Amino acid sequence: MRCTLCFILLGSLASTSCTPAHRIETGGPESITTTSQIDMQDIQDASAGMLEGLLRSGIFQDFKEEHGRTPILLLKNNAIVNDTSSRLPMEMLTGDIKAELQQSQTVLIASGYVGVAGAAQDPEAAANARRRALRTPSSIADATPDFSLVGNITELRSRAGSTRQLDLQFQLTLTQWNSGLSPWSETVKVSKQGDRPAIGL
Amino acid sequence: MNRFAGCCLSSLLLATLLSACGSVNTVTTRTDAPVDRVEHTQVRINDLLTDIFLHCRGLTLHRTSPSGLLEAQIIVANDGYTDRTFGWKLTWLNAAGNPIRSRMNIWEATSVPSGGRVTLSSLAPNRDATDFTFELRRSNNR
Repeated sequence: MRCTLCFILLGSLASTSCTPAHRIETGGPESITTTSQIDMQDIQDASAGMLEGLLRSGIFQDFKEEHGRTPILLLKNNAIVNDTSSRLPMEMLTGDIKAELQQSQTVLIASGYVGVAGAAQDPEAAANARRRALRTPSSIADATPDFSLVGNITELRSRAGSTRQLDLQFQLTLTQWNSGLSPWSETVKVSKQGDRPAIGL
Repeated sequence: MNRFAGCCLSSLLLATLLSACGSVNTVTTRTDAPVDRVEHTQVRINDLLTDIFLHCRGLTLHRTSPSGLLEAQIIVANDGYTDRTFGWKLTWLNAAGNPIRSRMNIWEATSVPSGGRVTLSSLAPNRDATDFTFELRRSNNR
């Protein structure tokens, strides 16, 4: 009888200690926060902060009023350099920035631009643009970017006893191509502290 | 008995003083309410404990220049005796009252010291935004 009770108790304890896999809100309050690497909340914080700064600047709106057309922006997936010890697929950061800028209707993204680097974001679109330019040079609009975005991610690690701290800096710089000058730059800092990974913000 | 009561009272006073050691004294020079203050805004706080210690002290909504986008600013004060970390999210709504889907609508973590206040701000993702909802919840970890 005692053995049966023990088994039931152990079984119930084992079942309650496990967390079955389930879907959560991306970057939401149930996400895992860790000080050992960059996590989803960091990426979301960085992209939201940079987008806010870029939209607040009004540079694209000013360009549109001045030139009578929507500016073209070049943002390649490898435009942001990851200078941290965390492996990070850069599309997770650049994808959000691109999509939000496009949906804000303030800028067009140059996905088929090849340039001197020789690698377009969308090779098929670039090939089609080249073919059209060869056939009828005057029929296509100039898709040379007016602006480009580049950036980097750096980290600083510190420790006090068993408590670890990870400070991250996401930097983004906008360059206007006709002047070669940078009218806007933004840094977003994210700091995390703790002695073990945890669920929550 | 009187001695015991005196000890209890002293201990209570000492505990109160110690717990208030980390608090911040906050003072503001603003005497009038901001002219662009929003009166009819729904604030939804989904945690009873947070509701007790964190309070919304002011809401402003103004149009930024030169972008022409709306910006919301919310002042949150911590009236408790400990530093508090909380999560917040601001969702922008269009003229029809529907939420605008944006990657800028994310949960953000912010800390506010005891007795202190923090100003949270959020920029609207586009010009369709006319209103917003603000959500605040206590952090799971602190």
